[in-house]
Amino acid sequence: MLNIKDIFAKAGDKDILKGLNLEVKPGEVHAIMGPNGAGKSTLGNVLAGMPHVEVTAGSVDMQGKDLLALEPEERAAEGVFLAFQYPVEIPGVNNMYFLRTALNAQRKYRGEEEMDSASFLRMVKQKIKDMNMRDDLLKRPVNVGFSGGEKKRNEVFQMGVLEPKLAILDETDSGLDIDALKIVADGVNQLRSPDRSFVIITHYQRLLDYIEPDFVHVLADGKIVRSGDKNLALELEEQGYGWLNQ
Amino acid sequence: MSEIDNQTASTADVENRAVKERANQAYKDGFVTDIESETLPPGLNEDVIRQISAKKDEPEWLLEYRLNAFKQWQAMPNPDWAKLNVPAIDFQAISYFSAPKSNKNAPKSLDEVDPKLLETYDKLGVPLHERERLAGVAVDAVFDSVSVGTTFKAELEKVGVIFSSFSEAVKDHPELVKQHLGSVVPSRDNYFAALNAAVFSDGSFVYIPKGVRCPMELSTYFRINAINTGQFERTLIVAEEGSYVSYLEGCTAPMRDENQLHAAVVELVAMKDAKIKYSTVQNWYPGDENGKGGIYNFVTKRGLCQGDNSKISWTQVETGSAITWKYPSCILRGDHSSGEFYSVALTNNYQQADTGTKMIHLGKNTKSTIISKGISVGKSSNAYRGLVRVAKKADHARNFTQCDSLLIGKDCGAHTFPYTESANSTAKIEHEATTSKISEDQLNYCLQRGIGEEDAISLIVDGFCKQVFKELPMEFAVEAKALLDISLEGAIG
Amino acid sequence: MAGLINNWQEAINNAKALTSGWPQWLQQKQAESLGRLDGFAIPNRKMETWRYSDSGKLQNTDVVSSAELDLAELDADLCILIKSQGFEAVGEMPDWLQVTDIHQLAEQEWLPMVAKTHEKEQAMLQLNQALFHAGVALKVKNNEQHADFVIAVVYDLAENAWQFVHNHFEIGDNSQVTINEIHAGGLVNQTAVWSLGRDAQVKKTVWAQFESEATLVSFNQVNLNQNADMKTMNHRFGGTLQHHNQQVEFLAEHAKFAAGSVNKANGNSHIADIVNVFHDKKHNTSEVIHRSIADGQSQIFNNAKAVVAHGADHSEISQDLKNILLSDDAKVFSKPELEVSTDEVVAAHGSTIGALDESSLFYLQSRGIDAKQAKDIMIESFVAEAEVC
Repeated sequence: MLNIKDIFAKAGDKDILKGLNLEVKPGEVHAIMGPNGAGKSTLGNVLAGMPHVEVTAGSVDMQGKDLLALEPEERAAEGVFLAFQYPVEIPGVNNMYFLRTALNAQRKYRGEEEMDSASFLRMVKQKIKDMNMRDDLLKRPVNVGFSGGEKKRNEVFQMGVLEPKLAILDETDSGLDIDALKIVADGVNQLRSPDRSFVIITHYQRLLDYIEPDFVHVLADGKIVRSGDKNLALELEEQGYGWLNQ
Repeated sequence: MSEIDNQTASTADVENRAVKERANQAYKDGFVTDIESETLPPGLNEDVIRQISAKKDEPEWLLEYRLNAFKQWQAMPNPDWAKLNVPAIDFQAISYFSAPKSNKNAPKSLDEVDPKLLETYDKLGVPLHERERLAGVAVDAVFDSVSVGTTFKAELEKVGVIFSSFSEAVKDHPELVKQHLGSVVPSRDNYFAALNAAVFSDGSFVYIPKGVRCPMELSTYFRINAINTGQFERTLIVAEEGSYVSYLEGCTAPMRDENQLHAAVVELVAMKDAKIKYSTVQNWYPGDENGKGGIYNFVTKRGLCQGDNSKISWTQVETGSAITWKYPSCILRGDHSSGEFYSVALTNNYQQADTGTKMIHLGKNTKSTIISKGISVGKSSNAYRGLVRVAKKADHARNFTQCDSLLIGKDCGAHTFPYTESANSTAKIEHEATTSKISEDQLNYCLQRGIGEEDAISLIVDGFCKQVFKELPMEFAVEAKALLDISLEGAIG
Repeated sequence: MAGLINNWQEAINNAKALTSGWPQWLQQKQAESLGRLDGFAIPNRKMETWRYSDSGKLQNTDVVSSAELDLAELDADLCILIKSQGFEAVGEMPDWLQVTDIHQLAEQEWLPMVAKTHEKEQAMLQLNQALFHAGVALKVKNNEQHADFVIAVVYDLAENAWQFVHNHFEIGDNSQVTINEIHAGGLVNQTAVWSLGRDAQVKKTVWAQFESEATLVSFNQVNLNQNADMKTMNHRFGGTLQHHNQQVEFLAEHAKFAAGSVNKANGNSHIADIVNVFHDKKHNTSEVIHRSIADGQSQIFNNAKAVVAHGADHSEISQDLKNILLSDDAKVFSKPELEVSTDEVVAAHGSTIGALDESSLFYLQSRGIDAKQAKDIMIESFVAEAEVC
């Protein structure tokens, strides 16, 4: 699915990623943990194609395509979805319209037929029900006036509608209370399938109680310094990241 | 007063109580120094300009410069666009040169300066004696039209810093003066700049050589003493590549019933990587509570960020003058250069102020910050006028402006006139402003905690100005706060 | 100024021919206005209100004929077509509404138009008052609430010469109405007085969207009585030159005024959007929101000014001017102004000029929307904030 080879990346003048390697196979869930400033969010941004993050060396292969050569919207259409740590507010544009535009743009790119508004509405209503979310979400402008938790739920809901192949969750758990965390985890678990992969970026082990990862990696100073199974996350929870400095 | 009273005090009470009762504290710098002066008779013509130039033994080119400026001035209209009510100024009734007589043959050292003059500066709290070196501030003192003494010259010379009166600089460093005079504010720039270029008497000159960080704060104290005299000083600061200087300016004048004119020009030039910090505490005599007397302060201050990565920062605390008309500005020519303007302007009684800044973005990645705090009291009028202009080539230029006005009393005015212009699609300009009266909630909160209303107002105003005060060098910040307190006193009701 | 008169001689002749049958008192007033023109200069860049508009474009009389308007598309209950001479009403005229030619107005109902700021720069207003030859007086009776009844005022004017229109809108006490104005193009100098009675509510939407050469200069005076509520929404696009001036006066207390503008300019269009609100009385509220987008070599000028008089306590003012530059050759000027002479006020303003927000654009792209469409969505989102009605 995804093969990241020896990536170096800069944000502004600062070197953030310094030789990061990661392979994700279809159906796998990878958790990326690590201290603040290690480069976790930059990894997500590199994959999604955020401007101002400059990849200086290395490659990213996604199902045989050079991901780094694609525009952000092409990556999305290829199946990359980033759940933002800080979702942007877009006043005056309602969620429904936004999602339909996004979905149809992706379908068009893939040579699929656009979805008419009636079938789209049916699909969206069903999804929102499945994911235990309130449907007034659909009528409101994108993220405007949403609480932190609502914004994160909206990200997961969008993921459900767009059905990506590779979903990257950037600290989706931060700032969530336990109920919101469960809703978010539920949403992710419903989407787990043998041909869909997840990269879950998180600072805490908490989310991993609900979404069980196949692999856990520790990212520190721009590199993956340790990998293991879900027990590594528990170990980190106990020990913190202090040992990294030793 | 009991606590209950405090709790239930309405704002109306607050505005009418003790503050009003306290006598108007006299303008503390309002004394007159009894000193013999040599003053030109009032009037302005080519002859007067020739006399000023001759008295100062000036080179021919400078006289030409003056005469040329005078011609330009004569053809210019008096500007009327400001939100100011300026009575007609009779330029023929003003004397354009006044010098303390004892100073005629310029003193070689401070020991030769008339003790009465030194006393004046002592009264003002300006340390002129080198024994006060602990203060760590080099001072140039300008009394009426001439510089009476500059401290710490020797120490500064050791690192190559030139800090002298403008007249001395014309004699000792004519090439530097000639190169930079009028390069930032040309004589034709505006009415008062042209007048200044024609008749300027003295002022300060600062030159910081390449790579030098000026080891101490430099400071000029301006004092108008003589009657019916205008003061037209000129300040020029040149900071060569990679240098740094912090410059302070203070101004006072005696209390007189007549209005006096002050029309200064300040030019700053910052080369590559150079930084200039210019701070002003302006406390010219504001006139009495009926609006009689006071200084007309028409000043042109402008800095040129010539080199890449240069920076010019203006900080001003304006509490004095009957009329203030000044817009310390930055021309951001070098790429990555930045300009700052931090201002507190307080007007009381019948004072009028129209002040603000201009930030002209020419270079790429240039940045400017404007923080302006206006406080209007009594029957005064206080306007912020600003211009932010991004030229076509100024890619990624960035401006942020915040401009707040506080009204204390029913009869004052607070006005905001920000102009923003952009011709570059990658630039970003943000301006925000508020106008409101002093918060009743804040006042009542203070009262409830047992703080008297006058102290409460002073506290709240101080908080309102904090963002600007923190930009001032420490000695000045203390003085600025004290000045603000005095200006607020006896004003509410 | 004789030069000014000469400039407009053709228009003067034209107007005189069209208004020869008008009542004596009105012809007299127009003659007086014409006489006063001597005191005005031709608009030029030294004028504050024309500083950012190329007034030379006023001399440009090349006009591409405008597209035919389909009245059905206007979705109005009643269309009033203003012609160079007279007007035509399409649809049913309800009994609570009275529409007449402007010259049918009784002399005592006449309201002079006087600019309260930059008086010396108002040659175009003065010219209009001297030369108007068309327009309607529209009156809504008291206690008639018809917010759902849409009246469309369509400027269906000749295109080959300057047209001068003056309207008079009078909304009775406690009445409600919705009025849309549609400008079709040409060379138009349009003025209007709006008078809202006590508790009256008006929703007004103006469309001045030009695909081709067109010049429109307007001055709208709004007078608000006790508790009146006026919402004005302006949609402007293109044209050679658009220069709009709104002047609002509160005659009593507890009234509200809101003005939204969406100004889009491309090509060589110049759009100036000036709103002056005078808070002379207590307890009134005004809100001005402009969203402007300049592309091509266009220029947009936004100016909101609020003047709060001594003693006009409890005034609330907000000015929100946001601008986006889409091209390197376009220019935007933005000037929110506050003049406050009393202390019981809440006044705030903001003004920004910038590009489309990059992080929002990226967010849209990361969901699969291409850059061009993402930009369109962002623009839609940006202008939606100005929708006051």
